[in-house]
Amino acid sequence: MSKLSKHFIIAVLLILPTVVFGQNTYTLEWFANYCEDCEAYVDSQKRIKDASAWCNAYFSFANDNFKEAKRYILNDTKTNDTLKQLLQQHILLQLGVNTKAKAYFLEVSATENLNIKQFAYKSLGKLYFDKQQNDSALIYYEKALQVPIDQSHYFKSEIFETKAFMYLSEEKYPQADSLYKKVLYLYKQHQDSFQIARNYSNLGNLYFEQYKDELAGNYFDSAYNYAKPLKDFELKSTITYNLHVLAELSKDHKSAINYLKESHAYNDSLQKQNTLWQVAQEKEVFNVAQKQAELDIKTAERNTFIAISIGVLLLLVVGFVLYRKLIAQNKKIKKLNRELNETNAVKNQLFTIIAHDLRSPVARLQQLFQLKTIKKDTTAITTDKNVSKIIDSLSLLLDNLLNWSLSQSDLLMVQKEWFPLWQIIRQMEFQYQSLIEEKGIQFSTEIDKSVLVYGDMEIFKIVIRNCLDNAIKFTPKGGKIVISGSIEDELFTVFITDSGIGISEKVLKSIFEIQSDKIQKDTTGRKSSGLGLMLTKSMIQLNGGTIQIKPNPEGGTIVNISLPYKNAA
Amino acid sequence: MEKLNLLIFEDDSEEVEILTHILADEYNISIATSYEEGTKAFNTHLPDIAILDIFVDGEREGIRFAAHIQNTHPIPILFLTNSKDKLSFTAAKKQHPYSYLLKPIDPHSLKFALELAFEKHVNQVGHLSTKEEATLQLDNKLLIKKGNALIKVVVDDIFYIESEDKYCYIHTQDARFLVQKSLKSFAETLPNNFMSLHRKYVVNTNQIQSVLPSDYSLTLKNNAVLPVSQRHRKVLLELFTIIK
Repeated sequence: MSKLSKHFIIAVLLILPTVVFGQNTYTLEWFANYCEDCEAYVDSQKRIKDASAWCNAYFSFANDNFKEAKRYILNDTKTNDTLKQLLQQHILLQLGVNTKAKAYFLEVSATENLNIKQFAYKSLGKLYFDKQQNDSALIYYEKALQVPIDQSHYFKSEIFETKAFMYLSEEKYPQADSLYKKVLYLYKQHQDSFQIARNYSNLGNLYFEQYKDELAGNYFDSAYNYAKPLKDFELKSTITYNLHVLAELSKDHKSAINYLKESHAYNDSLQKQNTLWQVAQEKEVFNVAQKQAELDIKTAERNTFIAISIGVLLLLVVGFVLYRKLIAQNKKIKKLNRELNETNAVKNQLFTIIAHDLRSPVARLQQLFQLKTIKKDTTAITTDKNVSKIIDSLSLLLDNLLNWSLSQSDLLMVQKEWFPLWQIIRQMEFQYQSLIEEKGIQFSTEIDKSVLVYGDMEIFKIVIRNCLDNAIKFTPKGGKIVISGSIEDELFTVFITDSGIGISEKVLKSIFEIQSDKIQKDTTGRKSSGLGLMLTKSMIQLNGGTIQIKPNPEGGTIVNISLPYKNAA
Repeated sequence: MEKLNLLIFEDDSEEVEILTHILADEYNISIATSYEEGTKAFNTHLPDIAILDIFVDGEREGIRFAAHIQNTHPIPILFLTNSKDKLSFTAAKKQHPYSYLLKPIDPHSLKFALELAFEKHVNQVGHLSTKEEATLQLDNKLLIKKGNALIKVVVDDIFYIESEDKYCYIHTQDARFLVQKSLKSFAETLPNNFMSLHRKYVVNTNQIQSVLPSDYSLTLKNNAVLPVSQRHRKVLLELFTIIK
């Protein structure tokens, strides 16, 4: 009896999975009816590219990948809700969550749609069968069978097979036998080798339970024959193992060992297949991950590109806007500059005209006085020296103004040539003679006659005139003015040394600039603007020379004017 | 000994008055107040120097007249002008080398400007103006500075030149002038008819009246008698052979 129980346990343990497998076939077939791609899948056993979400859900479900299936269902927007719900409940069933599924199936079973009604009953039956509540299972199977529509052979054979299994476990062998044979007949009609082999195996088990070893052996042999061309290692392993058990019992050890070996071989293959499948699965996961990674990189690249493009575009836009602004600003500045230049030109022109037009009559007046003096003619205007003094200083002022405005508008004629220095000094001395005498200034020149200097003579005259004018102005009565010279390298330096009131350090620093705050008063108390000195600096520069003003150690000022020089032949 | 001939081209009588007043002692002055007058005076008067106002009759006739002078018989030119602006000078600059004088005119500046104009004309700036006893040779005439005045001596009117250290005496018909120049440098610039017949004398051979055969002494047309050194006698003989 212990032996038998052992047999039974082995058999049941081996048979159970095949029953479950059989159950799913119908469910899968039923769902596949609602999708062309799925039917194609059932035929080819290959996944279809760009399949619908429903099809993908179905595929994942069929391959026991329930989580993926669930995700696909959630993404599916086309399939009707009932269908989706049904698949979802089946997934729940597969995951072992029964309560919700049961409630839903019951709810759906009330529908007018007979197809769905039947499917719901069938599903409920299976649910109770799984829970080993066979009575309830049978009631729902019965209800399913009573739904007045055509049923596929899977539907019937599965129900019959389940029933038969129930009879078998209740040891109602004749009922079980009759049902298994009905199922076998149905499968044989559809030439389903796999199911035939399984059913023969079931029958083998049935007779094995009844200790009819010989009959059982026949059924197992049939099962073995049908299973041989199949690739289902699990089924083959079960059948060969059962054959091994039988052979062992009949003391046919040789066959037993062979069957055992074969069984192990199938088991190995099964494991190998599983491993391969697992590897393939992992590989796919890896591939998917890699593709995802690539996609991520591409996405990242694309995002970076977009970001950069946007950045560049933004920069261009900002640049363009700034550029426009800059151009507008430049235009404005240019316009202002032009206006300023025009105004300046007008101002310079005005200065030139004024100086020019004023200069002529003043020059004539000056000349007239000279002529009268030369002729010793006292008949005409007064010979009061003050008049000619005023005219002289007016003339210098006008000359300065004219030269300054001419140089400002680049109209000043500069003609550089060699000229004898002492002649110029002598002319200046002559011009200022009366003033020098009047002030009782000791005046002397110590310039070598043969010295020729290079520059514009008239411009140089203006320089010397201004310097001498200053020296006389700022030297008190009875003072001393010396014009001397010395050679330094290629230059000749003229020193105009006076014993005047001198210039403070502070004023000396900015002596050549027009500034209102450095106005000095001369010995007669008259103010001097410094226009002459400022002009002197730019005039001597036009001449290619330099000017420096230094304090005289003995009191007063020394003006140094340097120009290129040579000696007359 | 002659006065220099000066042509003044100026339509402003006051200016003319001043110029003539300052220069009348030193120059034979002719005055022109228009371009036509100017050219006429230039051809008949044969001036040694010209003072031209740039603006005459409100036009730049001075420039035009200067061009005429340069194209016919170039002489030193001194422009008179009112201001030193480019517009009035650009045209004048073409008459290079030129001198100018800014109004108002004073005697010193004017005389100096004239000297400078002579100097520039022969490109010898400083030869007159930097020395007291100076001389300047212009073509066939010598300008000799005597005091503050310039005197003209036609080269052919010179009888002989006598050396006196670094100076020379220039002897003419009735006068002699001291100039600050060595006899040697003088002899170099004079024409071929001036011959060195003694280390102290350079003689204008055209002015020789007679040669005394006994001691080869020369008697010039002004009756001056000059010795001839031994080594120069041969040259003298050759000269007379040629003359014969």
